[in-house]
Amino acid sequence: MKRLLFSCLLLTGFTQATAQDYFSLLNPGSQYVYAGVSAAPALMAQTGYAFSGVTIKDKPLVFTAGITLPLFSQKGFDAELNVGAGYQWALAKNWNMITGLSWNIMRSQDINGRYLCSGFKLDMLPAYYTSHWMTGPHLALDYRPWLHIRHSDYSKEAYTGLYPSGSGTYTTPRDGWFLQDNLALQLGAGVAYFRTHWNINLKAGFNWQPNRLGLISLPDIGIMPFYGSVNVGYKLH
Amino acid sequence: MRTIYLLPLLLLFTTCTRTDEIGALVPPTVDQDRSLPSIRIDVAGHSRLIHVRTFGDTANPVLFLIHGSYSDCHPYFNICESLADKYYVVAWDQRGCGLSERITENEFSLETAAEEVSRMKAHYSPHNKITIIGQSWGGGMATLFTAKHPQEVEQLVLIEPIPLTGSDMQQLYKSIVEFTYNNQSWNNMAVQGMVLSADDHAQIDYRAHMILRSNMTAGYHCDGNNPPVWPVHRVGGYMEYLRNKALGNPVSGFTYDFREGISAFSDTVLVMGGSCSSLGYSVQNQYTRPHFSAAQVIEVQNAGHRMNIEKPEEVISIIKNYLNQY
Repeated sequence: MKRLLFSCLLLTGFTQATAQDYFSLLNPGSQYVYAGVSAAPALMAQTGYAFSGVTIKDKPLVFTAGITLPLFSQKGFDAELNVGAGYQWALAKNWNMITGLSWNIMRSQDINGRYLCSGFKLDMLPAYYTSHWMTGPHLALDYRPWLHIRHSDYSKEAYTGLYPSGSGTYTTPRDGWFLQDNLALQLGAGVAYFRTHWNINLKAGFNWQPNRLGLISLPDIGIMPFYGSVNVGYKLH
Repeated sequence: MRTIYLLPLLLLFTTCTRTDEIGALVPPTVDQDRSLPSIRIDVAGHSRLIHVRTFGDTANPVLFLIHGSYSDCHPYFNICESLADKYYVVAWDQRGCGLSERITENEFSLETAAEEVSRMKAHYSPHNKITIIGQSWGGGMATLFTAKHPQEVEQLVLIEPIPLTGSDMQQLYKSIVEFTYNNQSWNNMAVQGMVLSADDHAQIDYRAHMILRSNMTAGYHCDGNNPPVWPVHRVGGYMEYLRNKALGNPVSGFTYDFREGISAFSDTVLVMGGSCSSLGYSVQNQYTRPHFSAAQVIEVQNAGHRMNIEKPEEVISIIKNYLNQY
């Protein structure tokens, strides 16, 4: 079973940003839950809840709340919380576009330090619909500019003995709030199979995190240009 | 009223430090802090500042210490200090590594790696032969320079060099590189990528620093889950990308050859291998020894790839027994 789960994860690819599930829009109702796995490229599991009490032009506006947990990287308690809203736009006959905007906050810890990071993610999935299937391109923009770092002793030790004279300007890394250009752009495809009460959906594609060095991939340190997620959703009411 | 809500956001945007601010995540490079010791060399048509530390009397014969990958010269200071009574020891952070100035992609190749050693020799020992100690990648670099300039090298010490030819690497790759997607250390680095963008050298080096304490290189160490501390100031993450690109990969093949021409170097080479490492004694004896006209391969017991930290006395003793000045 573990091997099967792992194979599924590998097949889905890898994503820089975690998956927020707006596919509850495929199962109109007031309450909905979902769970799934993704790779970011860290292997993650996510679950969440969606609520819909408002309609705009006869289409539901859903509000979502989710949590994402790394599967293998836990040192302390790593988690991302996200809240968002999604709407399904009617584009043309058989063509609709799921759009979602979420705010996320992530706490993680590793040997270098402890982090609190926050930002926004915009998802767009214009898709062709049949009675039980939908498929189309997936586009997403994930921007996480705010970051708080508390460096570990390991990180601080790198500054030990830096200056032959014993003193200099830089003696320790800086703790506190940072701003950064942490942007991830995703271009891929999404597909879902849906029935009245449930759906299963998959997103996968190319992930690009713009950087000044033009790096697309450096697997040694966890930079990989793919993303993917698989989620299963169920309508409660 | 709206201004009140926007004010905290505005403050957050304007008062925060940026992650690329000098020294915020990792120590500065010598071009960022000119109080750090450096020299300027020209390699591949570019003039770059190199972080250098020297030990001993300049009148002594020159000995170069060349560090390995994911490293700088700092972890080797114990060797440098021990040999400073008979040698003028020069240890430097390779271009793009440690505290040395960063380089661009077109500045690195195996040829320019050898050129870098040539420039350092021209600076520190233009008229006399040098002795070289190289560890891991540094062992490959030392062999490469010696093969190209055998008449300029007095003695050569290799501490667990990487496989010296692409075909050796192809055969050994699976035994020295272990990776699975469910590796916790690797996932930790990937998670860091979600919170901290690898936007520039500092952020990449910050993340790459984690590899040194990870179990991704478990095979190199006696206790793979608890590798010996490797006290670098700063690694060169982007350089690892450039090196990997220059060396090749197991799919398309490794095509490099560090030892082409090495037969012209007839002196005995000292090769050291740990008893625990996947690049240890048995690998060095089987793969590295045959490439040299004469090589002495010595096993360091209960030591892995970082043997100068794990067993400093044994390592320094073996090196001194070999070097002409002792």
